[in-house]
Amino acid sequence: MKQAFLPLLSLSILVTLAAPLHAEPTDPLEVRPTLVEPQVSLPTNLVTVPVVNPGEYFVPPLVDDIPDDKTGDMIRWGRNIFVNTQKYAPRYAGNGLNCVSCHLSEGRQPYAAPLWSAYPIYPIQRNKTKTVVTFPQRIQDCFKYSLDGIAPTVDAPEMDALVTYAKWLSTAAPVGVVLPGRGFASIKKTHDPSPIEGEIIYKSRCALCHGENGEGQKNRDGVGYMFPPLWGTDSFNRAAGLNKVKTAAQFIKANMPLGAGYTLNDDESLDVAAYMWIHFRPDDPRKSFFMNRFAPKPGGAN
Amino acid sequence: MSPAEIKHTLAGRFFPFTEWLPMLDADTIRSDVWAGVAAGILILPQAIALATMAGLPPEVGLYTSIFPIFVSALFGSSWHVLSGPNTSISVMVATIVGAYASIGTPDWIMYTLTLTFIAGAIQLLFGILRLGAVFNYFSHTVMVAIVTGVGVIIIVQQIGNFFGMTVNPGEPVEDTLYSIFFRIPDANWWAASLGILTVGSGMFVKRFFPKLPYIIVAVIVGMLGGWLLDLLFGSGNINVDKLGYLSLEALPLSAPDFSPTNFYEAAEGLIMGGFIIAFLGLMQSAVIARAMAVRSGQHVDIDQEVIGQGLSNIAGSFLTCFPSCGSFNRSASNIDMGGRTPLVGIVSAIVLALLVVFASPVIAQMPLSVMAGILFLVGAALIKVKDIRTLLSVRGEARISFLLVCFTTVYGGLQWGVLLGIAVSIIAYMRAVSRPEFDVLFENEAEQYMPEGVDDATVVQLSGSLFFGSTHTVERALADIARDDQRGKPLIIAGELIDNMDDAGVATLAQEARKRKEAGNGLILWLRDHNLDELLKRNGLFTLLGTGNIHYAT
Ligand code: HEC
Ligand code: HEC
Repeated sequence: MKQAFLPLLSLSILVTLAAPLHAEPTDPLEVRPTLVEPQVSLPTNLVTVPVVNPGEYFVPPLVDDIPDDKTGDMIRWGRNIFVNTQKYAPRYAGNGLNCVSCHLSEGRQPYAAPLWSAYPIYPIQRNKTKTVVTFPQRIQDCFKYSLDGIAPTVDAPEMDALVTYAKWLSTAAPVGVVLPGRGFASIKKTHDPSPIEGEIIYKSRCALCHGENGEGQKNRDGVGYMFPPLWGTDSFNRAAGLNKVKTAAQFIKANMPLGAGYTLNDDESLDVAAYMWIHFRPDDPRKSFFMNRFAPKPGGAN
Repeated sequence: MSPAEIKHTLAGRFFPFTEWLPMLDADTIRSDVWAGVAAGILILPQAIALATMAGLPPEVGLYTSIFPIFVSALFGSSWHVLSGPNTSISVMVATIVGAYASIGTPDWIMYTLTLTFIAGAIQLLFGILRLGAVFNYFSHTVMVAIVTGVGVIIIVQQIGNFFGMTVNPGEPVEDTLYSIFFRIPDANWWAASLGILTVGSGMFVKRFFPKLPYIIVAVIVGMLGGWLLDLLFGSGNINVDKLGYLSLEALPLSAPDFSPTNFYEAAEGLIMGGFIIAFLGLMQSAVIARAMAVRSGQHVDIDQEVIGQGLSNIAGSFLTCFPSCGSFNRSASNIDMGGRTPLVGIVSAIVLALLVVFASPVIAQMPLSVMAGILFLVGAALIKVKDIRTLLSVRGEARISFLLVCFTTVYGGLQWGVLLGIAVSIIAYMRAVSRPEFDVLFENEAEQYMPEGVDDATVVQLSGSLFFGSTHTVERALADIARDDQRGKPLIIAGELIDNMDDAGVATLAQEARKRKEAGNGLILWLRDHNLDELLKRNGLFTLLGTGNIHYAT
């Protein structure tokens, strides 16, 4: 009996993995909540790739499949930087976040801007800058805005490592196709988001991890965050994608509270995102010092 | 030697610091601390820039300016030499390691550490075998050529950073220039203007305020410019690449890697690289030892200095350092600042570490184009136009070897430049040896040159060429001989081995002949054949000596 069980199990996994990818977007509300555990330390084995419905999303290779050669070293280095930017690329991080703070599950989580959905479609035309950007240039933006830091040059070794990691995560992903799970969940705006409502939701659903004042919670050894700060000097700056109420709501809807994505509906997500938005964060590096003082805060509209 | 003396020198050899530790009194400590603070601040921009040149994270440059100093302060000979990263060595590291790893990766750092260890071991060996003196024979021309080549390499490599664009590392010079020429429209002019500001202010200060440390002024001006642009236009818009936050560890332990998987494939290159780096370091040490003797009056034992360098590199490979060597400029400015003992180095290391820890947010904003500007200044300072002009104005050997070595360094890579330089130096040395040489002959050997009627004479054999460049040596030797025999006997010069002579050479002989005549004795000359007769006759040597006193071997 036991002997028959293992082959059967692996067969069923194979079947699910081999199931064809559906290119049409799925309605995120219908899928079950993810099964991810709150991820506070670096998991070494990601067998439980957060597949919401098995077969719905592209499945990146397992960590154990990283080849044992120089490329493998590069991939591992990139993964380390991605998961623990504070330790492996402190030179470029300006706040307390890591890449994985937003790109959950090591950049694998669908609807948390997973890397495998991004790498194969770059270079791409971006609305934010109205220019064609390459993948490394896109990463530079996350360093400059989301990490409120100093971007590594496009030829920096850390950049190489991150790109190699992203490339490896997208092994066998179709090139140039927008895969389901790209970016964040879609959201419909039915009313003007209300920070007052948002505060209530925040206090009950988020403060437990992210703190009463959005200050996050440091690791026990005082280095780096277990739960990242949502605003304040150690969080992303005014130019980051998540400073847009809508983008933040899309992210929150699919991913927060951690481990219980899709438990907030569209309105609740927008409210809590608005509540996040009204707080202080570091200056927008795309504006002069004076504009940052006197011009209205970006990101509130749309 | 009394036992006490032996003990003293032994202590001096194995623990040189026992000689200066007792010197520390309140006054010395005060002046040394100040000199140390200055040295610590001065090294900062170079430490960062040279590490980048070597393809390493800036932190490695800082470690290299911190740890080796302790070791060489304790075990080096000179009291004023400050060691740290060096331009030629940085370029060399990048060339050597570039063959085995991609730039800046952990592998790159690993190979660099192994290289540091090998270079240190080779230097230690040189020191123990007391081979340091060999470097006094290293041709000055070659040294100027190599340093000039390094200056050119540095400037060309930094053009990309200067204009805020990326270029492929390790391309031949002309390819880099070619691609930059076509990509100038893509340049980030914000970055370029900061670079120009840096270079401009550096040159201005160097010219009009030579007392100020122009590199530091240039860095500060460049960074202020960057800060102003950020303030006015926003860093996200001007998009100038910046250095990033530096984080130092108190004890960045590391180790050279000699494991088969990593070392074997690179062994050949690393060992050759280690040799060349050791060589470049020793070259510096020799220059420093000579210059220090003049400037500070302290006699520098070059072998001990080399042992100090070797030990500091070996120690450095365990503390995340790339190869370092004594720095001439830093040592000279150390003396100018009034430093007296190696305490200066120790203070400078501590000051540097504190500076980085506390000024990190400011240093992080250093634009890379400002750094490129600094390297432009550093590289330009290596190209000593005056020296080169004098070298090139002299026709002949020096000019050719200069051009050859410089060209090889720039196009073929520094390692070939150095190897060629070694070869050129050896050749030059051999030629120098073939210049005039004196041997005093005695007994049988002497008697065969004595003509009839002369039974007591001083006989010397003169070989090589007797020309304007060598008359000095010949004169000295003749004067030495005169002191010995008081010109009390005739002098016989056995000159069959003279292969060349010019007017100046003949004049020297004539002068000696006149002096001998005054003392009542003659000078007898033996020549191989009649080839030189014309020359001698023209200069009146025949009449001076008397034809009978000139003999021919054939
Ligand atoms: C504060 C949250 C945050 C952090 C931290 C963060 N990012 Fe992002 N990232 C975003 C957002 C928001 C987007 C925009 C997604 C979109 O446009 O759909 C994004 C997009 C990206 C994309 C492009 C995705 C796509 O589908 O086009 C890449 C690649 C990326 N980030 C890489 C990184 C890397 C590498 C790091 C670490 C240095 C990082 N990010 C850190 C929030 C973050
Ligand atoms: C179980 C604890 C937990 C709860 C509850 C939780 N989060 Fe998070 N949140 C996290 C963790 C952990 C991360 C970082 C993800 C990682 O490192 O893998 C994160 C990341 C984020 C981020 C992106 C990183 C950043 O700092 O900006 C946002 C935005 C966010 N959470 C918002 C929320 C909101 C809004 C709620 C309430 C609806 C919420 N979170 C509830 C644990 C939690």
